[in-house]
Amino acid sequence: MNITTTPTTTTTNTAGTGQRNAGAKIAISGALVGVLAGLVQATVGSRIPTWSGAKASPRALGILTVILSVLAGVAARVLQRTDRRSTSRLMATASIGVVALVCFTTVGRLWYVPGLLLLVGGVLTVDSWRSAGSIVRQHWLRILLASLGLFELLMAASASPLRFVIGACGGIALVASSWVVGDRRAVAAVLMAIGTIPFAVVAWTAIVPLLLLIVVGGLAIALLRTSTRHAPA
Amino acid sequence: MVSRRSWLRSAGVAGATAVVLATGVLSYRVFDTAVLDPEGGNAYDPWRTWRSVGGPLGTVAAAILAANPHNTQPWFFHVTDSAIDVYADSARRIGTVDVAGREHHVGLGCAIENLVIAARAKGFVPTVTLLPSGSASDVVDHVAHVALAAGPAERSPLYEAIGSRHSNRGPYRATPVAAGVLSELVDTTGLSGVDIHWITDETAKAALGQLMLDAAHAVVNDQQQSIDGFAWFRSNDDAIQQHRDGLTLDEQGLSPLMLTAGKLLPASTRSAGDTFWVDQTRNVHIRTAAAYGVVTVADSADVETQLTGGRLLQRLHLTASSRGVALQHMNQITERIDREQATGAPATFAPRFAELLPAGVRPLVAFRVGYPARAARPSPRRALAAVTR
Repeated sequence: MNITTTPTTTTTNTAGTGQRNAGAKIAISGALVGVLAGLVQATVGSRIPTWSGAKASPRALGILTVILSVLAGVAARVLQRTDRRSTSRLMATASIGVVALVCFTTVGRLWYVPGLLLLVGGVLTVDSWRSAGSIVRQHWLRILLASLGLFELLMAASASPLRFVIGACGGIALVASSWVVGDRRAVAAVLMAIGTIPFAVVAWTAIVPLLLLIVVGGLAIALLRTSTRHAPA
Repeated sequence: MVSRRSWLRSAGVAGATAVVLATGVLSYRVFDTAVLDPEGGNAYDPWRTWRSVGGPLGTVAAAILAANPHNTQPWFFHVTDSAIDVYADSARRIGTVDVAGREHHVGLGCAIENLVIAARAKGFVPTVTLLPSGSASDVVDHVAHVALAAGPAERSPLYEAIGSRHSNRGPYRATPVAAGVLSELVDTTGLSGVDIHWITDETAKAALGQLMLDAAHAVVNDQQQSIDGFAWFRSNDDAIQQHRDGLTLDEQGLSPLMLTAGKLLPASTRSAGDTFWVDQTRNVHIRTAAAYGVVTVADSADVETQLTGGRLLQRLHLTASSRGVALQHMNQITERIDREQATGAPATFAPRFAELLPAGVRPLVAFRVGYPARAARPSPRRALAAVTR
């Protein structure tokens, strides 16, 4: 449960870097097609239900897909840079993978192509699966925290407009908090509060937002305490 | 050897993972059943847009919001500038639940009444001809021709109530509905051969309540009726938005937290749904009914009478809605009467129901009324384009 973020130098060879760059390019392509799919869902999704999954809120889901695709694209751009730590690269890869999977529920068949491109691209960007496994174990609680952010985004996707906005912002805040919790504890704590409390207030009747608040609270205690313990004097 | 501290740490991480996974599953249920926007999506648009549709089509926009059995919406309309023809969609019947088609035709009568009320509000003088093609079985699907002549626009309280009328399956308050209020709900002007019989006496209410509960048991114990009824239940938001018809959990009159719990649990099986309905009948519908009403007729098998009875029922329901009185349709007794007749089984429900009604009349459909403990929610509706030809 050690979540210190000591920079790990990367020693990938040229072949590995080439594979990672190719994967990042494929993922960027997938993200761009994903943005397009989201725009189609948001504008004409209700008129092509067979392709768009006959969703209740095509506009909201389309916008959510655009946001997530942009996030995946940003993550893929991060992977193209060579000066990033292994941890950052793995988080970026995980983001691509999660977006690829989540959006299969938001735009129906329109996601088949971008989803496949993101998955393939994401897999190709992993330099070493053994090292990846080690990092995942090391940062497991942060991954759980990011997952909770994505669950909040999922709930927001079928919510009424006000709850959608608050839930979408909250989900993104939770994901962001999982990135910064190792380095900036105060910022992470604020992001966790922003990510959970407003959504719990406006959507308490759904029960799960309250559960989310409690679970994030528990993770926050574990993550912030560990960060404190390992913070430099 | 694994230290105690290390073991505890692993157990904590495993526990946290399990809790997060469970949260993920529940989050998906929130998404899948639209807990956070139960009246969202295109399936509920007709309730929001019906007033804004102009001309003759506007009358159809009101008609499709009418009460109907199991929300099958068994209708389609042919619209011209001077008339609306109403047709029964026989593919949208509920099988053995309504084996004689009485609820099917009552629902069509409800749609005709909404259409007539909206026509007056939109500046037409409607003239209704029921079964214009005759009453032979091969032409009975053409249930009404409504001629529309130009006239003054007359917005009545009933028109204003069209968008807020919903069947309220929740608990009603203990406050009784005064006899004077009940009588004011009934207006048979222009509707011949149909009337309302109120059951307010406690002894008669108890007897009818027991009969309804027995009928509910009989329906769920009749496998085919159970199957035919459950076929119209929509358990998630995708199904609601795709079909835009049928019964949903949102309409069952549950409290907000109970409704959420019901949606978060796995989709209901047929037997669980049957048990839920019987329990609700026993513990909510019967227990909190302020009074029962029965649409009475001379011949409950006559299609024209069924259509006229539907018009009266819709008129009554709209009046009740405009006065804050809740209404729930409860037709399990007549469903069993028709089922027993169709299968040649001994009549067990017809004689018991007849004992509660005046001599010489037959029950067409029944309902309960009362002051609601919570507001009713709308049901999904098909788009105008899907029901106009």
